[in-house]
Amino acid sequence: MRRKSHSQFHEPSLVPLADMLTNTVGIVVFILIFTVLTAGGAMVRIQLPRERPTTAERASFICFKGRLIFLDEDPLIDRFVKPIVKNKRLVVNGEPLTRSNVAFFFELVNSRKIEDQFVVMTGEARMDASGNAVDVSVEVTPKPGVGDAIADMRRSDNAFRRFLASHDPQKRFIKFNVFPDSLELYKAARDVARAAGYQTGWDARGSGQKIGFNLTGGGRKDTVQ
Amino acid sequence: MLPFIAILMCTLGCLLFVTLAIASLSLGPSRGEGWVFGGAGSDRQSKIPILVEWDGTTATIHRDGRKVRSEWKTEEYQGWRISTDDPLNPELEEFLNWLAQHKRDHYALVAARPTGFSSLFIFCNLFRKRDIDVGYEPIEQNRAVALIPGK
Repeated sequence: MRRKSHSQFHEPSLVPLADMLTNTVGIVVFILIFTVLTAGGAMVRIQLPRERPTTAERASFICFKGRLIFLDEDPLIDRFVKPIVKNKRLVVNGEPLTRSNVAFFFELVNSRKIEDQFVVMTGEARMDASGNAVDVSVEVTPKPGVGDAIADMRRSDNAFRRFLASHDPQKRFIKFNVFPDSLELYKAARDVARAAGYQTGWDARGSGQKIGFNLTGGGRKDTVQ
Repeated sequence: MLPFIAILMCTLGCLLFVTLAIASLSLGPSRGEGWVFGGAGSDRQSKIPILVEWDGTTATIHRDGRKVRSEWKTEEYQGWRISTDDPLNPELEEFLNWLAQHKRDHYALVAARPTGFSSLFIFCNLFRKRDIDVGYEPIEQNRAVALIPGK
């Protein structure tokens, strides 16, 4: 007698695989919901700014191309105006400014350039709208690659922290000139300055906008926020 | 059995893709900011801030749970932005007048977009001229912002 073969093929049950699939899909859906809910929005508790006047002396910094650059404006302006100002009056080669030498004065100012390790200062002189007085202003251009980057803000020995530590927060406040490409840097530097006890303020600078100071007209009053 | 494993792998791949896509959108461009004011532990706020977004051409006023958009024109003069002689839009004028009447207990909080940086000072002058207190804070160009009362 021939024996019947017992090699019948038994199909494996798909129930464990269906169970595995269902559990996996459920876990992934849960992770999806959790991710959306927690990442949906950031609550930022900030010190809401409101302008107020200050009598503290300004220490200016420029936030430009991801770099925090010190602007030592007073010594720079003093150096720039040394040959063109005498006894608080505009002069040309020591002589008072007149209509006869004003063209030479314009050439002198417009070609003048001074610099320190952080910025280059140039000048611009022109007749004002009335045609009876001279407007003189200076423009500051940061040098490339100088200053603290945002990664440096986390270090305890960066140049900005050394500056803050070497001055009195009761007598000085920090003014930031902020360009659109450096918002995160500004916020990080502001936090560092406030942690060191300084009041801060900021001026917005549009892309390509110059940082200028009018030497012959009135200026804005300093404010902090 | 092999087709079933293929179905399983495809399903997992699709779910993973959807999860990553939604997470990246939530953490990236559509991420918003809520600025918290008032409440315990906050700095003294004797005035209530009214949020105004400024992007260089349009002011978006957040008031009474609504957002009202109003254009305000500026022009360039010798490298600087200056205001024009055009009259203010009615919505902006109405808002400035309302805020001037309530300046004792309200002030303007300007959320400044990068495209509005060059004209931010003269935009804030609209409030300063009416003796309305103003504050301004920078915010990224496409990030949503809202004021949230603290607890």
